[in-house]
This record gives sequence, structure tokens and C-alpha cells, in this order.
Amino acid sequence: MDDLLSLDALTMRFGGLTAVNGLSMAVKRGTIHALIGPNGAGKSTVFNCVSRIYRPSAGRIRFDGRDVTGLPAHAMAGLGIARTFQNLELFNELTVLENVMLGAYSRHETRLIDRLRPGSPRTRAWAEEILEGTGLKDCRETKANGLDFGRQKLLEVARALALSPTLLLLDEPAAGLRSREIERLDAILTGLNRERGITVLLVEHVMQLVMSISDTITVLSFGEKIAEGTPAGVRGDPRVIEAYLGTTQPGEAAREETASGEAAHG
Amino acid sequence: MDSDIVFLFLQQGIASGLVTGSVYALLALALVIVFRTTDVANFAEGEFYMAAAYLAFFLIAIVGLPLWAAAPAMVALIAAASGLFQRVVLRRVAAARGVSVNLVIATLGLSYVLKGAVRATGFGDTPRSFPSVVPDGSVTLGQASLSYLDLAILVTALAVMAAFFAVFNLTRTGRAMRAVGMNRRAAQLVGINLGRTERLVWIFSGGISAIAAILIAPKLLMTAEMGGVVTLAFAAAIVGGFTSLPGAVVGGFIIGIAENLVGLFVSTRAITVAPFVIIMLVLIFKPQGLFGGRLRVRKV
Amino acid sequence: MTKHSLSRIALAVAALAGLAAPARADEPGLTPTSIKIGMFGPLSGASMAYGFDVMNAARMYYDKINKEGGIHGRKIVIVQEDDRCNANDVVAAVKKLVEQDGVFLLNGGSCSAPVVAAKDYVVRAGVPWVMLNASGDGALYPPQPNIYGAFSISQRAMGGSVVEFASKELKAKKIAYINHDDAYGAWNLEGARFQAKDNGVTLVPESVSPSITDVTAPVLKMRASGADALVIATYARPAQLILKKAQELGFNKPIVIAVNAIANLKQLADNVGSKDAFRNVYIEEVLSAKPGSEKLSWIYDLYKANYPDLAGKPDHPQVYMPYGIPSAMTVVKALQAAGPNPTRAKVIEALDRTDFDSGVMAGPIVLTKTEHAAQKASTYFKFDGEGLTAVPGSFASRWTYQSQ
Repeated sequence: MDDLLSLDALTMRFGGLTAVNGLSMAVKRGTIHALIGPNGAGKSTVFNCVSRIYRPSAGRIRFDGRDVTGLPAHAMAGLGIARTFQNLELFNELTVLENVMLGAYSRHETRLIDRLRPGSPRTRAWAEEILEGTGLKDCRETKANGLDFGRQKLLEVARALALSPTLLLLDEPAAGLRSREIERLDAILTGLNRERGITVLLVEHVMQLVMSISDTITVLSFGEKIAEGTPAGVRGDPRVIEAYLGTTQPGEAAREETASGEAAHG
Repeated sequence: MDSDIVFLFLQQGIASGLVTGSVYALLALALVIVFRTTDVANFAEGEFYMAAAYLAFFLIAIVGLPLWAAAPAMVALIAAASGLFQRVVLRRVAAARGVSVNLVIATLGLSYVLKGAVRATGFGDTPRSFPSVVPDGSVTLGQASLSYLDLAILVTALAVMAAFFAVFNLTRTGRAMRAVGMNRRAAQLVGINLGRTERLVWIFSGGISAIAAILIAPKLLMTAEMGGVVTLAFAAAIVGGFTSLPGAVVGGFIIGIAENLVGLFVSTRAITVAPFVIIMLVLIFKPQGLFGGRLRVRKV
Repeated sequence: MTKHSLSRIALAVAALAGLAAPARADEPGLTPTSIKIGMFGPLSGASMAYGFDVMNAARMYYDKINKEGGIHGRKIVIVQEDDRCNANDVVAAVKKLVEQDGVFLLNGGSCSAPVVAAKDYVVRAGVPWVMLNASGDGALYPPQPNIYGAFSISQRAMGGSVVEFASKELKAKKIAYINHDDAYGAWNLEGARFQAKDNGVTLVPESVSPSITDVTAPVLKMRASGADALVIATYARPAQLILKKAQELGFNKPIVIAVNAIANLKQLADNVGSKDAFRNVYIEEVLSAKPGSEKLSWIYDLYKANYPDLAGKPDHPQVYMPYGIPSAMTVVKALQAAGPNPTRAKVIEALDRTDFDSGVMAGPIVLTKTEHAAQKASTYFKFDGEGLTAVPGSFASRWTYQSQ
């Protein structure tokens, strides 16, 4: 199947408020797909529906051809869907290594004998590999809450990778990162996508990253899709510009954000 | 008080304190595993413990089962009831946007239901016991004297604690429990089934309380009020740091020994007050408990 | 208004006034042929065993008196209420009996704590109140003009009696005394201390909480004190724990268990579990003989005759049943002594002159103007875990209210 993830008229209502209204979109296997839009467009809501934290009011979600709309949230890991949270949901008291090893909970150690060991050598080796790939190997014994913010965000991604995902859902991975850190994230994601074929769907405001790595961009406004296409196509789309209040072009917004980001963290 | 008496009192106080302390430790453990994973302070635990004792009494004295059959049956039933309570009541309360307080009130409600049910059977009118499997007689350790029953209680309690620690620290299930206690969202993310893990925790908690009941009933006799001992379990858990399992165990032994030493060296009237004085001291000097780690302030 | 209608109105008012006023302003519950007695006790609820059959016993005694002709030609009529041994229900029952049923006197109350709740009301209402089997220290000391009780035994007398037994019969010079740190404990300790001082023996008290679980501390201290007898004045559960612990710690001096601790001897033996623990144990009994013995058989026969259905049931008659008899006897004697035109005041005067041997209790029933607790003695039995052997004699407490 070419479409790894497809949303079919997805609708989410909270009481009287419709946050997402009949959204249909598809994420093609092996691509990096970004979901953007102004604040309140419903991007996080879509994410929460896909990762099954919310139950959609209407519509269907299909993953790899299978209808997953009714599945519980904890089943996603077993299917190969991993996600990160914008506000980070790390196991703060555990070390970097332990966090990543826990990430592998669903994938590894399904044999009985492994059930009795706190962390088999296989899991440990796998976790070390991931830490190497995300540049966190040096701080593997540090407690998660002892890391700086940039590394914590990387750890969130590393843990997600531990379950060998087919689809990686990233919730504003670049928010709060410095320019240098954004570049590193860019390299990591691109590497994962090219070398391992992991499909990525990300919600993001930082246009520098979005424009750089996305194959496809879907633009939401007030819960509806208003544009979809390649970065170049979307950047020049008048509807997109208007949705962002026509004050700046998406490209300019990225430059402004990076500048302010550097000022804050510099 | 001459030094001979002091030594005698110390030895006996500590020895007997270890025995009752081991039961407090079990009950405290049962409290903490639920609290750590689900953030619920289980006020029904005393009544699970009491219902367990009466169920055992019913199976042994009325139905006529031998102890080796009645005990596992009773423990299994109580553990299952505990899991059922979580599944049927607590999950509903939580789903209805339940705040922690609502869940705690639900446990209080359960405690009344259980106590009323036992009273209604009429067994609770006089103190009861069931025949002890352990023969009469005592051993002397130094100057302290412990009955065979005391030793059996201590050894069994320690074995149960060790078994539970093994499950908690060495198995995948245990890891899931710990993860859920640390961060529910994250646990769900990595594929842990929250509902099932919580139910398991309640099942373990109920089972441990039931074992504590069957150990202590021949020693302390059972009445419908015996669930009051859970106050001491709470005290033990607070002393240890309410989220620490080893802390709960150590806290239990501390409370058990303190009760006896206070009774021997201060006054028997001070015995009931002793655990609360200890709680106060701990809360003043180390509010997170002896094993509670760093002091953390959390927004509720 | 015409003169005619005015006088009619006056007549109507007078008639109404006549109806409203009682036949005799200070004698409710009394007619030429009947005396109304208000009874109350736990007819239901968790504490039923303390009073259900006690009330039945009193009632059957009144029936017997009625069959023999009544009192000065009047039959005794009973109105009864269930108080569930609960303070609110006791007060409600008493009020109803006095105000709605207009009883002449009250004969009720099996549980000490709730009974005290009715004290103030009864004193104000001036109605004579003879308790059933409640020990009732809280309402008897200081003595109230119209309240009488402790037909079983008061807490003070219980403490005094066990010390009397330990010092006179067991020849103990140093008596360890384990009681509770609640109000009852303080009362029985008061009686015990007085008796010990009076007998020239030392009392070594240890007061424990009723909810105590580990009795190691009090029992160890008791043993270390070198006492040559132990008195247990706690409730049943702690008493059983103390017996077990005393055996475990190798205490082999005599042990006396006060009535507070004994509801069911078989339970006591079962719960303690080992016959060895009963090598040297005595129990206190307030009846004049073993329950079920020849001396008391007339009571049990009367019960069977009056309540044949109940007598067939396994738990009946309940342990405390005979205690209703001395209370009812006291009421009947006072009514007889008050003469054919009794008033409440005359009955109270007669009650204050009560002095007889009921044949049921260990000691005489004595009430005076300054002492309204009726029974102060106990008999003792050696209990080996199965059977009882009587110790001859009865042992009375000498504590009185003035001796403070």
C-alpha cells in the first residue's frame, strides 16, 4: 500500500466546538509529511486522534490498510506507531539509557525468559545503538531531568525510535531548539527516513525545518485542509498566506523565528 | 529501671515488634503499590483485610475446608474482588473526569460496604479466630520469647515481600507497573496497557492484604473493627515515603518496634499515640519520608 | 353575647379543662387496676445480646406477679421500646414512654454508655428509673434522686471485688491490674485502688487502649513487676490476647478475669487456643451460682414456660438473661412497700430502703438514699478451659461514693 496512514473525513468535536472538520489526507510510505497551520488550526487534535488519545467523533483512520479508529492508545506501539509530545513525556527519574530501553517495551522481550530479566543484553545493545545514532551516547547515565532542553527533545525522539516504528509522529520537535540543534534534528530525521525508510508525520511551526525536510506539506486552518503539496507549492499558495494573516510569507516567518530563537537561547 | 530489665525489654520489644511490624509492612506495601501506580490512597484496604479474615473464617469454620485449601482460595477471591473493584468502580469514576479525591471517596464507600456486609452475617459479634496450623510452643532468642506462630508470621511475611519485590523489579509486568507510576502518558506511548496494569496492581494489593489477614488472625483475633490497623499501615507508608516500596517495609518494622518500645519504656497508654508522633516527626524533619528521595512539590 | 351563651361557653371551657387535667396530677400511669411500666433495651441490632433476654426475664417476672394477683390489686402493664443500645434511641425511647405513654416508672437500660444520655431528662422529669442490667456508673455517681441501677455490678464494684478475691482468696500481696484507658477503665480502677489500699496490698495498674493489637508491652511489664497475681479488667478481645501472651511469656501466677471480658466462655477458650493457658485462671461471675445450676434453674424453667419458641433456638436464653430478675424484683418490692395508694415519691422512698437477697446475684440488693448502685459482690470460678469449679464465698467491693 502506498498510503501508510490515511485519514478519512476525520472529525473531532468537543461539546459545541468542532476542532477538526471532515479532514481527509494521506501520508505516503517512506515520506516525510508535515502538518502546518496557524494556532488553533487543529493540528494537535489530529495528532491526538491518530495516536488514539482522543476518540474521533466521526471518520476513520487507517494504518497500513487496517482500520485503527477503534483501537486503544497502548496498541499503537505494537503496530509500529511511535509519537513524541511537544511538552515532553519522559520518565524523568530514569536515565537516558533506561528511558530508551523502556521505549522498547513492546517490541523486544516478548519471550518468557526475557520477561524475568530487568533489561536483557539485547535490549541494552539496541538502546545503545539508538543513542549512538541520536548523539546521546555520552549522557546515557544521566537522569532525564538532568539534561538540557535540547537533549531532552532528542531523548524523546530516541525513545520513540526504540520501538522500531514504521511511522513516527513528531509533535513540534523543533519548538524551543536553537538553530544548531534544529540542524542536528534535521540531519537525524533525514537519515532515519533515507536509511531506514521510516515514515515521518510532523506537526511543526518552525518553518526552517518544515521547508527543509518535508516531501509533502498539508496546511490546516480552522480544522479544515486548505492546501497540500510540495514545500515550494505551499509556500506560494495565496490561501496559505492569507491563513497566516497575510503578514509574512511562510519563509520569512521561519527566518524571524530562528532569529528570536537564537536570541532566547544564545 | 535496672539494666537487666532494660535489656530484657529491648530484646523482647524488638523481637515482638518485628513480628507485628512485618504485618504492618505487608499492609503498607499493599497501600504504596496502589498509590504509586494509580495515585489513589486506598482507604478500603483495612476492610479488604478484614473481609479476608472473615472469608477465611467462613471457609474454615463453616464450610469446613482445611487451611491449606482455604487460604489460597480466600487470597484468590479477595485479590479478584480487588481487581473487580478497580475495573467496575474506579475506572468509571476516573472516566467521569474523576479527580483523585473522588477515587479516594470511592474507596471509603467500599470500606463501609464491606464492613456492613460482614456485620450483617453476624459473625462479627464476638472476637473470632481459626485454629492455628502452627503447633504451640516458643523459642527463646537471648532473653526474648517468640511463639512458633510468631516465627511463621515473620518468615511468611518476608517471603511474600521478597516475592513481590522480585515481580516488581525483575519482570516485564513489574516494569510496566513502575512505568505507569512514573508517567502514564509515556507508559501508554511505549505500549503499556494502562487499564490492565492498574487492575493487576489492585489485584496484587488485595492479595497481599489477604495474606496479611490470614497470618495475623490467629494471633490477634478478628473483629469487624480489625480494619483499623490500616491506620498503622498508613503511618508506616508515610514514614517510609509514600512512594517507596522498601520504605513501606522499613516503615512497617519501625512502627511495630516503636509501639512496643514506647509501651515498655514510656507507658502502655502511649502505645496508640506512638505511631502518630512518629508521623509528626517524620513530616516535620523529612516530609518526603525516610526513603522518599528529594523533596518535590507537585501541583495538584 | 347573651347571658345564656356566656354560661354555655363557661361550661364548655370547664369541661375542656376537666378533660385536660389528669385524673391525679402527679400519678401518670396509674389506674385503680393497673400500673404502667415503661421498659426499654436492645431488642435488635448488634448489641442485642446484652438486653433482649434480660427484658424478657423482667417481663416474665412481672407476668408471674400478675398471675399471683398483682400488687395491691393492680396488674402490671408493660410498654416496651427498642433502644438498640444507642444513645439517641435511648433518649427517644425514654421520652416517648414518659410523655406519650405516660408510664408510672421506667425499668430499662442494658448498655452503660447510651444509658447515661437519658440521665438529665429523667432527673428533670422526676420519673423513677430502675435500670435493667446496665452497670451505669455514669448515671449513678454522683447519685441522682430518682435513678437506680447496677443490678449486675457497677464498674467500681467490679474493680473492688476482683481485688478482694485476689488479696483474700489468692493471698496476693502485689496485684497487677490491666484495664482500659477509657472512662470505664478509670471507674473500675478507682474501685480496685480503694480495695487494695483497704486490704493493704499493692496494685500495679497498666491501662491499655481498647483497640490494642500487640500486648507484649503491658504483659512483659506486668511480669517484670514481680506481681503474684494478674487481674484482667479489659474487654473480651484484649483479654484473650493477654491470656495468650501471658502464657507465651511463661507467666504462671494466678490470673483473674473480670466480668467485662467474659461474654462467651467457649469463645474465650477457643480463641486463646491452648489448654495450657488455663492452668491457673479464675473468672468473675455476678450471679450467685453457675449459669444452669440447680439454684438458678427456676429462672430457666420460667423462661422456657413463658417463651417456648425462643427457648428452642440455639442462642437462647442469652447469657445475661437472669440479670433481669433482681431488677424486676426490686421494682415489685418497692411498689408493694409503697402501699395501695402509691405515688412516685412514695415509690422512690421505698426504693431507697431496698435490702434483700434475690437468690440470683452474688450479693444482696441494697439501695439507700446515698447509694443507688444495687449489687456489689461477685462469686469466682476456676476455669480450666472447659469446666468451671466454684470457689466458695462471695467477694464484695467496699468502695462508696463518699470515700472520695
